[in-house]
Amino acid sequence: MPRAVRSATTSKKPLRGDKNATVNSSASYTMQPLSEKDRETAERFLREDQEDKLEEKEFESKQKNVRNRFIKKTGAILDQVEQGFVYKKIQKNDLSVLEKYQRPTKKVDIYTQKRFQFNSKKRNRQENVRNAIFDDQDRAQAEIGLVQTEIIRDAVPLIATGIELDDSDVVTTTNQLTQEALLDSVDMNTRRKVFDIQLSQHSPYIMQFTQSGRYMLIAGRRGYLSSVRWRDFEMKSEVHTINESIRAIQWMMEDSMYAVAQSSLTYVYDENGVEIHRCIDFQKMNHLSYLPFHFLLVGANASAQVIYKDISLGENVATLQMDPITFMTQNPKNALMVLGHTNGTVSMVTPRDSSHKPVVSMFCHKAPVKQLAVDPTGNYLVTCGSDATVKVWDIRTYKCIESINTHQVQASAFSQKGMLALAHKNKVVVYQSCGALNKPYLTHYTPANIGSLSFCPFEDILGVGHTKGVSSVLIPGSGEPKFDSRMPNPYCDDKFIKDWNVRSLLDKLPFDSICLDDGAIGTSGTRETDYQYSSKVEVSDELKQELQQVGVVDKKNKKRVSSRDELRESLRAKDAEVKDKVGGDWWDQSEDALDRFSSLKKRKLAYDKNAKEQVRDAIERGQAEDEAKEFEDNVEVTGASLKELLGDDDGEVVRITKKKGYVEEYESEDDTQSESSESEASEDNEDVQSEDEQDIVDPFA
Amino acid sequence: MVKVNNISRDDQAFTRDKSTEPFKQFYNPDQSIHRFEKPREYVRAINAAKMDDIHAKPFLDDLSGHMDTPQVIALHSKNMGYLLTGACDGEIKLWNVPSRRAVQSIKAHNSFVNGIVVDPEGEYFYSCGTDRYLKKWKLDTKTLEPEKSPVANYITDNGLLCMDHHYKQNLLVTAGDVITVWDTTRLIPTQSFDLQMLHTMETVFAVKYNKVECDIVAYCCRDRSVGLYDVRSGEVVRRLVMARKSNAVCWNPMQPFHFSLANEDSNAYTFDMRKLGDGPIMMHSGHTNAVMDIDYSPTGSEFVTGSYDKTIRIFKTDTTNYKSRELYHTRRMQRIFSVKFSSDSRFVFSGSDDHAVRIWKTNRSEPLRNMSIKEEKTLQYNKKLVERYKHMEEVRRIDQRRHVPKLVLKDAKILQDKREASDRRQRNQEKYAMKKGSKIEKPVAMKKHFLREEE
Repeated sequence: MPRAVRSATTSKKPLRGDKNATVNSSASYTMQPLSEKDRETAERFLREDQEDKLEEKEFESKQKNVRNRFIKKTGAILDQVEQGFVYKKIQKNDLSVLEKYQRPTKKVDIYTQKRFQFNSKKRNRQENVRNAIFDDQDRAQAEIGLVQTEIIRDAVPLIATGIELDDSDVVTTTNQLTQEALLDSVDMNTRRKVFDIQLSQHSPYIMQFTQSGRYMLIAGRRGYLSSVRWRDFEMKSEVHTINESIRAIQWMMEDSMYAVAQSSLTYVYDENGVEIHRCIDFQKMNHLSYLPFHFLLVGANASAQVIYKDISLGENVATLQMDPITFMTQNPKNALMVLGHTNGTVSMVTPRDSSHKPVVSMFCHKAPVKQLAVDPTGNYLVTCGSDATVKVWDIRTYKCIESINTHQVQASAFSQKGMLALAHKNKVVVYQSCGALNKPYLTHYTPANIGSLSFCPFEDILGVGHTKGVSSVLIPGSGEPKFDSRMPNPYCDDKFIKDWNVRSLLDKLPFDSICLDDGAIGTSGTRETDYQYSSKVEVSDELKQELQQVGVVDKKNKKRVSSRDELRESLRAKDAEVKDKVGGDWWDQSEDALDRFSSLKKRKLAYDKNAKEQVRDAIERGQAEDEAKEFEDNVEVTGASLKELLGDDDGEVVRITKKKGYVEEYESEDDTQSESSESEASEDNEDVQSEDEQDIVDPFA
Repeated sequence: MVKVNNISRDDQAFTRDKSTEPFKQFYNPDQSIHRFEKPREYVRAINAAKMDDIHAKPFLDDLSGHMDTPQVIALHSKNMGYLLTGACDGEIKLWNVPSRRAVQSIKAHNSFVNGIVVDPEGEYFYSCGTDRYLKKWKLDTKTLEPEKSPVANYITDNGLLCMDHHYKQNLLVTAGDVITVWDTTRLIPTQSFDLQMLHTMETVFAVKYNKVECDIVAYCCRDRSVGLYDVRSGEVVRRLVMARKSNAVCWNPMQPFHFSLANEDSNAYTFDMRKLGDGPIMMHSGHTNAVMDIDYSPTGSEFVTGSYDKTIRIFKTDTTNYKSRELYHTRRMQRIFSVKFSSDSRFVFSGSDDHAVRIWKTNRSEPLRNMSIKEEKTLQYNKKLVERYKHMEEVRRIDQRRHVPKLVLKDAKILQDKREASDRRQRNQEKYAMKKGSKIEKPVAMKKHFLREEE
């Protein structure tokens, strides 16, 4: 319904008949002060706003409470996530390495370049082609040289590995097969490899195979060590560490020495069991690991330190102070150490971090991490928490791929072909890959609780250390059938190993070249794809959900809002507000708040034009002066007439004033009158309209 | 029936029977076995570059005995072990290079010896000097007795400043004020060309026969021009004028169209004789003072220059790199007047102001002893590694590090500043011209040093 608003002009001059009447373009639309109705609505709005705010406040305080509770629960992790966004640091840290190893981008000065340019492009091209030919010749020569000296490329025929089941079998899955059933259907040569060494004096026992797969190291936790060439069970050395328990063992330098973390210090023994070094810095080490190409022995001790020792120089390269460590293993692909913590996070560290901050830190479990294993491709990480869940993570995207609920895992190992073995009490479960945790490949029960698992390289053998000794399990398809004679292999002799050790020492990689992207070293810059994936690093989905419940929003997902956007938004809101308040289609609804102004201008011009014409018409007709006087005193322009002028369908009545000053006057004088006249005007609307159809007012005169 | 396929190796198939047999080799390129292959290779490349740097000992020995600056060095055309040098006091010495001893020394001229040339058969050698004499000598390396008198000599009207021998015929070209061609069998001039016909009375101080198009002689003149003289027609075929004068010229033995100039403006230039008008193909820079002499290696892939700034540089011709590959200098070596590649391109000889002839290795770290095949292969591999990782900062830094004398560095800095200033001026002029709406032609930097081709 159109509301009739009284409009008034208090000009004393008669409009009609005034020959000098012109359209005053400087006059403008101005809003009248709010009527009582409007005031009421405004108050209502205000009230509602306040109520909303109150509700919000309550909601926020509620959230705060929940959040505080959560923070208390998860401790420092959340703080880290909220404040620092540790995940972002991955990029920064990594780029610093690249700066050192990549070619610096130089600013090319056009003028200096031009100085030595060839005169003609053609010549240049010829020259380039010639260079290419030269290169090819060189390459050909080098290749001939290679052929002369290089190894004979004798490929081992690819053997199909694994277990095949027939319809005639009783069992339907490989998981149901026992070791006895397997051993029945293999040859003597393989049967010989399965052993069970029963020991009891120094239990529990742990064991580890070397990289070549020739030797194994057996250690009793209560102080017993022996290295055995397991193929013919020839014991190379036997050591009793009197009164000293053994915490961890680690083979080093390809079969030629091993490090043992004993109750207080860490000792290094050579292959014959002679103590050759005592690492005074390595005190109370719980975990040991060795990076063969960097010649770094890494230890994690009870006081949450990770120490890197360069064994070729005997120096400590880095000492990192971390959160309490529960487990340590290495990523074989990029030589990062992967640490599990009591607070449920897994962090990856490099020795060049003097700030002790991990390169990657992932929140994996809501309980302490118990076991970690990185698959041989370096792409997947398996974490086992003390909450009895096993999760598989893609380390490239830092996302959880799979998670299952099992028992608490006490030992885990990856084979060369990517098979995963998990141990719980006296049960070993082997999965064909870490992506198929719902489908066990083989299950085996040992006589006692398991302490360690270790796959033998280049063999289908899994070594198990338990409380009643050491035994081996046949896992068909777990080992790499093809070995390379240039690398340590099961058939190499001691002379090769010596030679290998010297050669690899010459090619020793500097410790500070360890970084997340192993492919970056030796290339001339960042590869774009790698940069992309490192920038995509995310908070794990689970954590994200939990954080969302609490009210922490991922900042990255939030759309960036510019000041312009804000302005646009506020304008839109205002437009909507005005529309609501006025009600109906005061402005054309299809029009935006932004282009309203332009349409206004257009309308005004149209209005002016119309008014001019009509004024002229009126003059021509020569209306009586009396009627003009009536207009002087009180003029009401009805919706219909305005409708004509403005071309508006609804025919609303718009209050039009002549000058601002008059309006004020009018307000002060006839405040009450205006209200009464308003109702009258609404009643007499039609009459006035019919009477004054031809009597047009120029409000701008 | 369960079928189990597992690894079960027959030991005999993987081990050798006797210790005399070679090991059986197997190959698997899987990355999980060869971890960190690329970084390891990179480290190996760094080590190779370091080893190369450590073994870099280019200076072999010096041949001392001259009483004045050796201005000319000539190679024996048949025997690689012999070397002829002529000094400013008119003395010519025949050196046995392996024993580093002078076999003969002859007081040949009364003033500067300006040219020595051995004939292709290696029987005679010719010398000329500023004393206007052209002399023919018997070249006998067997007798240690010095032969005091020449086989034949000829006195000319003008002082002779340079000479060269034809590669196939018994022809000799000498130049001073006049370019003269001689028949060596009778030692009489067959034709002479007076440069006065072309330009003002100027002297020529370098002539060189082309080794393939044998009748073409390149010469350098004092009026900054370099010309190609055709012996058959007795005419100057082409001529170009440089901004500064050229001190020496040398033909590329493998690419007969190319020749290089040792210029006074501290650069060497390579030209294509077909397109002299286009300017030089390449400018080789690095020296900080006038380049005095230039000589191509027999392979044509590089040349050596000796400079007034007391350094020797070796430039590669088969790359687009304008910088020198090698920089040789010693503290005692003074200004260099002559350089020569040995005929097996393994050595470089230099004659300098301190009266000594020095022997340098072309490849600074190449061992001279006989190497085993294994050693040779290793060196080849190392070389390839360095080449492969040359774009890496660390490798390049080690590989291209040379000790440069302080004086040279200082001079280079000054030259660089000058160049930058001129560039800046050029740029500003362009800017100003752009504002005004007019255009000025941008001179190509290299063309500044090259003025025009004439005729």
